[in-house]
Amino acid sequence: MIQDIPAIAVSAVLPLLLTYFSTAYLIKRLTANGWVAMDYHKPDKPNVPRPGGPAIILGILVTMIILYAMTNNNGILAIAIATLSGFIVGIADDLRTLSGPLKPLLMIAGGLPIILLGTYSPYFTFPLFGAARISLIYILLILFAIPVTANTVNTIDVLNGAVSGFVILTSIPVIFALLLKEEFVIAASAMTLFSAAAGFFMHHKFPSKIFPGDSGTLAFGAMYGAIVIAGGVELVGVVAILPAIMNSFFYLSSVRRFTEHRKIKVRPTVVLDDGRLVAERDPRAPITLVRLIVADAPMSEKEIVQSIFKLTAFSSLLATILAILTWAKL
Amino acid sequence: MGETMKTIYPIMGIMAVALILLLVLSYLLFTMIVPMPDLPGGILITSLVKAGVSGTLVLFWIFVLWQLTTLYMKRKVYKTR
Repeated sequence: MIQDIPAIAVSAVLPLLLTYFSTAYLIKRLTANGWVAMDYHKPDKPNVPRPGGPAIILGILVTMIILYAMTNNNGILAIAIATLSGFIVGIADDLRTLSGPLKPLLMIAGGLPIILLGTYSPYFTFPLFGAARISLIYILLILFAIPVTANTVNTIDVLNGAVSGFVILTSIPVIFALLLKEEFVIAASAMTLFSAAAGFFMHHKFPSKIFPGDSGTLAFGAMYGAIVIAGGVELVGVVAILPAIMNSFFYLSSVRRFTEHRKIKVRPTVVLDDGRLVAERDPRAPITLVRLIVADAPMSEKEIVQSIFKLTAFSSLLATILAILTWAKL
Repeated sequence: MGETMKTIYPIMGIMAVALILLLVLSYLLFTMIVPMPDLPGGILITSLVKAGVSGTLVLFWIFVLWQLTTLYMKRKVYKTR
C-alpha cells in the first residue's frame, strides 16, 4: 500500500489539471476553427465547441504513461490501450459518423489488450459467497464488456454535464471496491478516470462550454469497462452504471433496433419557450431516461441533470454496499 | 424538489430490486451450481451444464430488469400521450 501512495497521488491530481487546462485550450481552438455543435436544449440554440475527447485522452494517457513507469504494471498498459481504442473509434465517429452497429463491433478491439496481456483473473467474485472460476466464458465476457460499457456511458451523454458527472459518481464505488480488494495500482487508474472526468466536468457542467463528443464518452466508457475487468470488480461496476443501463433498455425497447441517435426523426423532449423541457407526445419519439423524468411535468435542464445525478448517486451507493458485502473483512 | 424525487423513486426501486436479485442469484449459484457433482458424461459435460445454468441465471437477471423497465416505461409514457 505505502509504495503505491505516490501513484495514487499522481492519479488524483495530474489528470484533473491536464484535462482542465487542455480543455480550456481546446475550447478556444475548436471555436476558432468552427468545430461547434448546436445545443438543442437551450431556447436560443447556441453553438458549443465539440469534441472535447482530445483533452480528455491527453489527461488520461499522460497520467497512465507515468503510472506505468512508476509501477511497471501491465494492467495499466491494458487499460490505457483500451481507453485509446475507445477514443479512436469515437474520434472517427466525431469526424465522420459511423453506423450504429459498427461502433460496438470496432470497440471489441478494446478488450484484446486485456486478454493478450493477461491482466484479468478468471475468478468472478460474488457478494457474500466467494469466487467462481469461469475461464473460457470470461474471455468472451471481456470482449463484450468494453463495447457494452463504452456505449452505455455514451447513451447518458444527453444534457450539459450529465456524462462527465455520471463518470465521476460511478468511479467512486469502483475506487472504493479496488481499495477494499487491495488492488492499489488499478485503483490509481480508476482515480485517473475520476480525476480526468472532474477536470472536464468544470467546463462541461451547465451551461456547457464544450461537449465531449463520442471521442470523450467512448474513451470514458472503455476505460471504465477496462478498469472493472482488470480490477475484478465487475458486479460493482455493473450496479454503479444501472441508470445508464436502464436508459439503454428504455431506448432499445422503444426503438427496437441499434441505430445512430442522429437518425432519430423525432426528439424525445421538446424545449419550451422558457427553456424548460417537456416530454414529446409523438409516439415515434424514442423513450429515454430524460423523457421519463419529465413525463409528469416540465423541468429545467439543470433539474433534469440533478435528477440523473441523484439516480447515479443511489446506484453508486448500492454498488458500494455490494463492494462491502463482497470484500470487507468484517 | 418533491416532484423530482417522486419521478425518480420508481427507478431507484428497480435498481434496488436489481441488487437484491443479484444477491439471490449469487446464493443459488453457490448453493446449487458450484457444488454440483460430476455428471455421467465426465468433467466436460459437467462444466458445460454449469456454464449453461449460470448463463441462464444471468439472462434471467437481465430479463427481469428489462421487464421492470419496460413496465415502468409503458405506464409513464401512457401518461404523456
